[in-house]
Amino acid sequence: MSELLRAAILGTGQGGDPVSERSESPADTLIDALGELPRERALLLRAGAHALLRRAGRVLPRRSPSLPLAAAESLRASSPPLTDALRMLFESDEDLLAEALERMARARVRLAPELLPLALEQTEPELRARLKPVLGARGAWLAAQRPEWTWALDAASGAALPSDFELRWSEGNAAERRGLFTLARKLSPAHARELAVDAFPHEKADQRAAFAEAFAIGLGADDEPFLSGLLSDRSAVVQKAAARVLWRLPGSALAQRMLERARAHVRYEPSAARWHVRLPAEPLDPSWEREGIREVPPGTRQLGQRQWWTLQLMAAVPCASWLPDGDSDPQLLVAAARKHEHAAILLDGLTQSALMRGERAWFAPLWDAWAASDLTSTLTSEPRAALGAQLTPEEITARAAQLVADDRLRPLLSHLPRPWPEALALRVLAGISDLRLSLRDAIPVAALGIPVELLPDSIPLPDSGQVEYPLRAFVRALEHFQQVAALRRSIAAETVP
Amino acid sequence: MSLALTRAQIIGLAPDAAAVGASQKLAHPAQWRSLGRSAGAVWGECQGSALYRTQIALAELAVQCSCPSRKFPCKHALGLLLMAAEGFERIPELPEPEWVQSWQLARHSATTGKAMRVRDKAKKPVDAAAQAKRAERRHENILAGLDQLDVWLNDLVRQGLARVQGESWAFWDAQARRLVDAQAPGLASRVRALGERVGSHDNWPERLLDDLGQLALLSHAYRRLDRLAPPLAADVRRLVGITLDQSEVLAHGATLEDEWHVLCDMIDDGERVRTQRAWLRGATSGQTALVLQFTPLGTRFESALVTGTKLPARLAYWPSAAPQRALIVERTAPASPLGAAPAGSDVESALAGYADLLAKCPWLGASLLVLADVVPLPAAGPEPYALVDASGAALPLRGSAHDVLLALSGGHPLTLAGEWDGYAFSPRTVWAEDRRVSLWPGGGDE
Repeated sequence: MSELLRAAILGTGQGGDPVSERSESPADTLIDALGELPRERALLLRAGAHALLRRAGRVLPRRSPSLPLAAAESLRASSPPLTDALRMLFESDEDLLAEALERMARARVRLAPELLPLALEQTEPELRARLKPVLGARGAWLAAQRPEWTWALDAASGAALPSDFELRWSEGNAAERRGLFTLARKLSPAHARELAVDAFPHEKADQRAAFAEAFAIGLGADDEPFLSGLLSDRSAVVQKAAARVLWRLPGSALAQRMLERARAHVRYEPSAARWHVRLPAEPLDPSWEREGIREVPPGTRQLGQRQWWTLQLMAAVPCASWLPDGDSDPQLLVAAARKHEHAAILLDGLTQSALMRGERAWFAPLWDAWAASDLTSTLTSEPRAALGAQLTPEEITARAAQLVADDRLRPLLSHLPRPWPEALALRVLAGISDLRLSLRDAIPVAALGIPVELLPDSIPLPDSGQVEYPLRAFVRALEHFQQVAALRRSIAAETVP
Repeated sequence: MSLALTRAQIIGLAPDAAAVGASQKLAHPAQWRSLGRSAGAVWGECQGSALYRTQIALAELAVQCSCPSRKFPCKHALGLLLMAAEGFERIPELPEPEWVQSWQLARHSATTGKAMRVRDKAKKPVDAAAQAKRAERRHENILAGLDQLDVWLNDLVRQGLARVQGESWAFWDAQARRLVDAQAPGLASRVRALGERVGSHDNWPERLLDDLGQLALLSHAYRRLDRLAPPLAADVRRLVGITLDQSEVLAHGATLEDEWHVLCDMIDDGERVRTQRAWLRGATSGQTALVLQFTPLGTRFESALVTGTKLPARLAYWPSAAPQRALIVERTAPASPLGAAPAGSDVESALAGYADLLAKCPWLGASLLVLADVVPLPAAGPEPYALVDASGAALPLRGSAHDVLLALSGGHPLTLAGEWDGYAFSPRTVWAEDRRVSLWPGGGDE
């Protein structure tokens, strides 16, 4: 620090030697020429002259440009319109961003360099996986410049944990660590289990419970000892979470116990195609409660406690365990469940169990059963939406007419896998073109779900200023639809393989 | 005449990213009805909540739309511009409808009307004696304000700059108001800027002392106005706050005709006013020029200056020892896209050019630098992010776009245009691999 600056910071009122504020620089010579000045004035004018001298004669440090050169690109450059669209999608629209990135990867198009920092800052694993194929040579080069970006250099398959995993695992907040744990379960269940063994003594109960729930991902027999240990965790929340994961581990001791409990109260009689339900007696068996059965039904649903316990028993065991030996068609069992006095329990339990375990054969029959009944589910707010998300294109096609006529259209459609099968897309489009008002809420979902090649160039619209509600709201929704459609079409046009 | 803008330049005009997105959706003939073009205009009607009429005057690149959007240009105008840029030939040539004709006519008479008003004002006989008397009174006022400012500055230094860290904004504002009362608004805004300097970064005391010192030099210089060469005296008057209005510049400023290359521009939205700062460089003269435009938020600039275009025009400079600020007197031909990257220099010669300007006007602020063959280097240990040329000279960078620069370079040299103020370089426009990228504005100055 110069004497001049030191004097200015401390204040000339503090004493000090004014002569020491002077140096032999031309700036001082210049000010000296002004003759005798008050000390403060002289200091200020000197400071001004020094500043000018520094600004004019800035001495720069030398550095050697030591960076390696980025390799030549093997992917195509992204067009300016695509770059502009992506810049906006990064800010605002995950759905369309995912679609655009997938199309780019297929067409072997890379991100423009100016978008790379934005891309490398993303932390969400699915988005990272979509970004990797479009980063190009420049993206790989840039990723090497910063430790927090090196995830992009990891094996392209995404089969390994990202290289910043350890850092983020040890320093991340609770929510981020839950995300990382989930990711670790997906990629390496055994490694995740080791992390949990190390971390559990130091974690709070809700975090322990969240980690226990994540064991459902990649669940295997190796996980049973650790999870069984959690059944005596000091927190009841953790106990229940672990128990509910163990329910899903075929062959675990707990899964076996739950099957015995379930069979003691529920039975399917193939010869009569009939379900028999015997509700458990009150009060709730304490061992049931320890092992995952909750005592009080959630929410305000008018469901008795004994029904509620039975429902959970149903969810605790695989649907397949009810199938008669040698039979693989759930159709009859679901139809019989719907006719039963305790239909709500049976359907709800089967649905929950099938969804939890991915028992594909049950999805479509259960979807149909919910569609044909006016029952409500205790466990899943929209059972048909949850089941619909798992249906195959053929199963959806077979139900297209029914879907479009449904008055709960929006939640049903919004969960369907995208892009929609052609049959469904065409039906929805036809309904929209006919200005069918019941479709209004589904229009934003349709803008994303209809395959891009089926999107119409335009739909003739009445002027929304000229029509009354509810048609006006419909027209507004369609204006938005047209915008999304135009954007999707332009992205598709820029990513032709 | 076709549209003299590229797609990137049009995107550059957009008020925000949302408008870019919306405009792309509208840049399709299917979104329009009665699209057409004539020798001077492109127009179309777009169905929004109502039917909006949008048009472009090709010569001035002026746009107009009947939609109620407060954004300017609105998405319809941007969409129409994009379509005209990319598919001009596909827009049918038609007679101008009545609504297009009337706007063109109104624009024409407004432009000529304005020019005439400016000329009339310049010609208007003035009461020279009264004017001299007013100027004398203002001079006295300013001198009194300077006396008071000098006492205040001396007090600051006597008590020490360490103390000002605890001062509120009102401390600086009170002194600034006194200078406004003394009819020295230029000094007032310098004092307000001092307040913003405090605590702004690690070595703020040093920068604060620099600024205080340069302010003291300015007050010293104003007292010796009669001994300064007229161009420098004009600078000192302007910096104190005695500004010339555009008609005076038109009447007395030195003019220069050239093909002006618009190398970078910054748009800043204040509370009520949008400001565009555009740096131009003459192809023949090599002179730089700073064109400032102001417009109330939500309205359009009088003449669009688009980075990456060349513009044959006559400019008039504000009188100065180191002329920078200028206004466009007249466009002699329509703007057209600038093809390749502009010529740039290495770091040393660019800084030497800046030093020359400083030698002429010591209070010069930021000026245009065009650097060629520089490589961005990330921070390493104590070394900050920098631009390094072949000689190894490392120019410190300001702003938040460092990573974007790095990505655009990939270790390869770039050409850059931006502002240098003697402390750090603010990059604004990058040319890399036959592409031009405007760095997203704003963020993290110092």
